[in-house]
Amino acid sequence: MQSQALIRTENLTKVYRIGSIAFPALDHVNLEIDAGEFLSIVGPSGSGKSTLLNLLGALDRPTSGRVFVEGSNLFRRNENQLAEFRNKKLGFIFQAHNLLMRTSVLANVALPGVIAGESRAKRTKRARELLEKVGLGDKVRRKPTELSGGEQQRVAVARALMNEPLIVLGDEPTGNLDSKTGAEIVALLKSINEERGTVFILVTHNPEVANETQRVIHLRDGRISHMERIPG
Amino acid sequence: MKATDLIGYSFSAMRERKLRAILTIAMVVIGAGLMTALNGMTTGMYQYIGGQFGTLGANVVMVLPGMESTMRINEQTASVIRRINGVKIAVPYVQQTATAQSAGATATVLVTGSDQRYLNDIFPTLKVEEGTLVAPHDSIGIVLGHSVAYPPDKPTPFARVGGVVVISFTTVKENQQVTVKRSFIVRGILAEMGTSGMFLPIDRMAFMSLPAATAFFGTAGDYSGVNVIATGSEKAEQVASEIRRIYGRSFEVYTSKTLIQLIENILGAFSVFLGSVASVSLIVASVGIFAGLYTSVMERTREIGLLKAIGFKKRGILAVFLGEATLIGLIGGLLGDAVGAGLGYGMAVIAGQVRSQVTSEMTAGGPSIGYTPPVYTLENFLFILAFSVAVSMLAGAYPAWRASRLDPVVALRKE
Repeated sequence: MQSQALIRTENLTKVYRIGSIAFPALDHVNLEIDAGEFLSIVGPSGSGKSTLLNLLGALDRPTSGRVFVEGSNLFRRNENQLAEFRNKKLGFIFQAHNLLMRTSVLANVALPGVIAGESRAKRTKRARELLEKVGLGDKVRRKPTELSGGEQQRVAVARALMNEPLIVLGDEPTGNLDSKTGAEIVALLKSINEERGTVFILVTHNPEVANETQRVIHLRDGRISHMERIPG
Repeated sequence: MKATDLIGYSFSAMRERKLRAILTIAMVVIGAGLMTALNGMTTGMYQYIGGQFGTLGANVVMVLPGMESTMRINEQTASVIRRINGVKIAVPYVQQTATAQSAGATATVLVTGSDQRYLNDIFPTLKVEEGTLVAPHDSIGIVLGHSVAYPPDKPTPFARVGGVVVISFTTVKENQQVTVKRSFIVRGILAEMGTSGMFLPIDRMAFMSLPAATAFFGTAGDYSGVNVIATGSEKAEQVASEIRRIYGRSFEVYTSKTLIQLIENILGAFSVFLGSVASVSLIVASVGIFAGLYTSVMERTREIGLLKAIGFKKRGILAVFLGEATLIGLIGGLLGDAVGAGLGYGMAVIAGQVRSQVTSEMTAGGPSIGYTPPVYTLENFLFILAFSVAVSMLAGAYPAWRASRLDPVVALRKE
């Protein structure tokens, strides 16, 4: 064990190839994230934000470099183990189209529990509690199509928390919302972070969102250009 | 992930694209239904034929004139056959279609003249209901089959024991059509055999003594055939092959077993043809399933990306889409079984009408095979269900595999 960090990246590099031309999307990124952190990743389009998030989310494999989570090398695992890691340790909130429109809000939130093989009673109970927590306790039987954009993101937040993850990854989680609703979502995430110690890593374009986090990582051309701590 | 959750998930996905699911299932229903109906019809036909020949003793060997031979069967043939090892007795007979008249009513009957002491050896289940059989040299006695005496479509009996029936037939003599007529006294009436069809229609036959038939029909010592009774059913094949050895292709030689086989072979070829038509329709359905699921995978790329992000493994995605294909096959197969069972009855009625017309032309208004009800077996239903599921899963395999292989990063980028 070299460090106590929850997540540590070591020369994390991702190169995309189009024909014979190589595009380094991520270039030797070294980053440590501690337990309980609430941080954001910002940078212009093409700076490597999403690539970094995909690698931290175990959705993609790096060209070179390593990611350690709780001290263990993430990409040593095979695909099934990575899927299990995503299910048990991670939560995802995307910008939009997060939910299955055909099933109820409750079923959407409970889905990670279904994958984990939890009993119906147990996962329904937990999904209800989480929906209560995000302020949608009265809308569990609704379809996502009947909810506003802000409410849909709240459902996505509840689903991300379903299996009590270590880390929740947000890819522009407020990108499709007006600033007031966006601020409410960020406040919700912040309260969960404070209450449970869940790590939040939010990729955003929005300086208002970044300013709400404890630490902002600035990416440029696939490298960390600088980091700033926001005084809380 | 639990199996029940998987089924629930697949089902909800199908409900989201209701019309497509219904159309795909309908294709399976048509295929499976056709298979069920045609299978039921042929099974019904098999059972009918099996039942018809069930009246024929297992130790009986039938010797008939050869189709490509002019060699006749006569008393000399009978005596050669009688000397074959394993032959208990050889019963020659004269048989011809004729018209029977009684009390103003007429009926078409198949008249058989033979020594009736051996009738029960040939038809073990045959029973006399009223009166007696005809004695070997009775020249005016006749025994009527059950539906000749009691026509099923008429309220009054055609004839009674002790009554007179006039038998007539038309023949050509010196380029002139002449009708030969003669009165016979009804000695007995047979109990119902339930075989009024084309093969061995005992209920629609009339029996007289061999000398009476020979004289009446003027057959001059030629027989229509010889029924050979072997000493045991295990000897029947041996006797049959010995007769074939002696006469070559001059005569047709059948045991009840080979007769059933022969007809089943003809029917079998026909049912293979029908069966392949039905299975082609299921294969067409599989193309529909393939297209439907493949489109679905394309449309649901984003969903697949999400599922992978929240922890679905490759085989989980595979199971979701294969699950849909399986559900389509299962629902389609079950409905197909049910719809096909009904369809089979309808088709059997139509087939019966066509067949009775054709066969009654063949026998000049005589006995014919009409409606035979379809027969369904549990194995058949299960086989068709399994086949539907297998075809659906096979069709769903590639789309499901494609879905499972989608890169989550690429899939999530799709809006």
